[in-house]
Amino acid sequence: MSIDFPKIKSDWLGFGVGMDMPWDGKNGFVVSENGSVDVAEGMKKFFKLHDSDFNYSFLSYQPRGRGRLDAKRYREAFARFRSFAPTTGAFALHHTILNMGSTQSYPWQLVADFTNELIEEFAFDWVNEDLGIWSIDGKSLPYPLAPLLDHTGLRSCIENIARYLGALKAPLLVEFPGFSEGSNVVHGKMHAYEYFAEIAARTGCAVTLDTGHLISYQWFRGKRGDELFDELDLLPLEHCFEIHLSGCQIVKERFFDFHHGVIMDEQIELLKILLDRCPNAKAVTYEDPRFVNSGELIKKSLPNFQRLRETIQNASKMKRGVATWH
Amino acid sequence: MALNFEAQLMSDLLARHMHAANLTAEQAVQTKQLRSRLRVRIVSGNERERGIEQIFAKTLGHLIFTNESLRQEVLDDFLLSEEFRNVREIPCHSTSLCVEEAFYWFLSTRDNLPKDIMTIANDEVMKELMTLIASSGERWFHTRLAIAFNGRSHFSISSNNAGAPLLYAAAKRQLIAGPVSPEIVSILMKSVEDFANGNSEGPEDSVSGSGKVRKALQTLGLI
Repeated sequence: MSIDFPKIKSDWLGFGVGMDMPWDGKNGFVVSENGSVDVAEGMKKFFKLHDSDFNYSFLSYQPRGRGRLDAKRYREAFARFRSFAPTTGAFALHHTILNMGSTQSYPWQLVADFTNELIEEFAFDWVNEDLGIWSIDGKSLPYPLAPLLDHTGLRSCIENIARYLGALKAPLLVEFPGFSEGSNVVHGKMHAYEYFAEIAARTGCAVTLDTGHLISYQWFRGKRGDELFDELDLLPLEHCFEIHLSGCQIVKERFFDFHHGVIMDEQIELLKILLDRCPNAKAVTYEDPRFVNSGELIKKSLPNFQRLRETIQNASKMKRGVATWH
Repeated sequence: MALNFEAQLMSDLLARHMHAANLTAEQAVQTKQLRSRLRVRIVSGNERERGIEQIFAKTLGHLIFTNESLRQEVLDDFLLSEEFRNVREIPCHSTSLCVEEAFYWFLSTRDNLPKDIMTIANDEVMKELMTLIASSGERWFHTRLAIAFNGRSHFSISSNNAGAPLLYAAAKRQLIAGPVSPEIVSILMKSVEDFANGNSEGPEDSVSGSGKVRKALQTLGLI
């Protein structure tokens, strides 16, 4: 089965940035009293300061209030985002309501229709979502749960993904889920890497590998140190198009995917391994950087942001055959 | 009918005490934070949404006055009720009641509450629903309450304890609530009839009432 990769203009997209966009008026979208929508000032400044760093971007969908799904309500906001964000190489949508890990019946066609309206309007190069349970009985969860790691869960995931692959007008990148502490309920005994590989093989979907999510799974299984990078060959490495890095932290022997902008050393090590082993990986996304009002990154995030940038610059050179990794 | 794992998990997460019969000890530990945040969002709200405690502050306040433990019991029972289970926050609100109305109907099924509680709850739920409609400009949720639409505004007529009419409306993106005269009720009801008959721009003399009252209702966006 061929893999449904995004069709991009170049062989290598390089470094991109992904932004969560809440409607809270502080960190994401800002709605003025007259109803017009804008991107938070700090984010605009961040984009301007890092204009030369990032080649593409995605925004993460957050529902605008509780009304019905209506693409018109997002047009102005997404257009504003696009006007400030780096989109030279690509522009993508990180979704949050596909709910591909659910074993319940779900009005997926409504979601697909809504998403297609957004795709048509903004020509998203791909749509991505963590393979997970984002809502149960129509109630959203504070965090997505990992899918049920049993045959029921596997069957549902394959069905859900196959439906969306057939319905969406942009390629779908299915993301390996997180197993972060305090926010998950792991049900089932199947190995999540093999489970994910089975889904990719059966559906032909392209995938996103999130370094924090992969480490969180091995951490959950009791692995430490270099063991965190074990068993990567069980993953669908050939299907990997995009790699994510978001701020993670270990607190009191527990692994948290905080999305606080501070990348761990282990994530960068894992990124290097994945770039070596994923032949079709073309994009590395820094998710949810944290910055101050001036747009500058928070100080704690700077050392590993610099390492991340260098790692990707090396990868870019390597893609052009002018450098080697180590 | 046996619930699937997800539905059972949701019940466990919403239960006041973590009995979590179908969860392993490890899973129970894993769910602690998730559970807390889910319950808090629905009951107490968060920075983005108000919770049941804020929306029904007077109703719940009245229950505290009667019996503190009754208030907690009502909230706990609601989260595990059929009314709440049927609420669909995403992505298809239009086919389900919103959580506020579900709580209202849940209260109506209880037989151990003070007699006048539904009058207070009706006032709070109607104000909330009209606020939701006003802020989005449309009624995006299903409702079992009598909310009428005349092409310009959504409204509902209730009555206070003395039987006088009370209006709750969403017009020009604003909530309008308060006692009204029978004449206004008559004009509003006629406007719904006209709208249904495709006569929303009907001549002024097609409705009863003085021109002054009608003008005022037009200014408010009610007709």
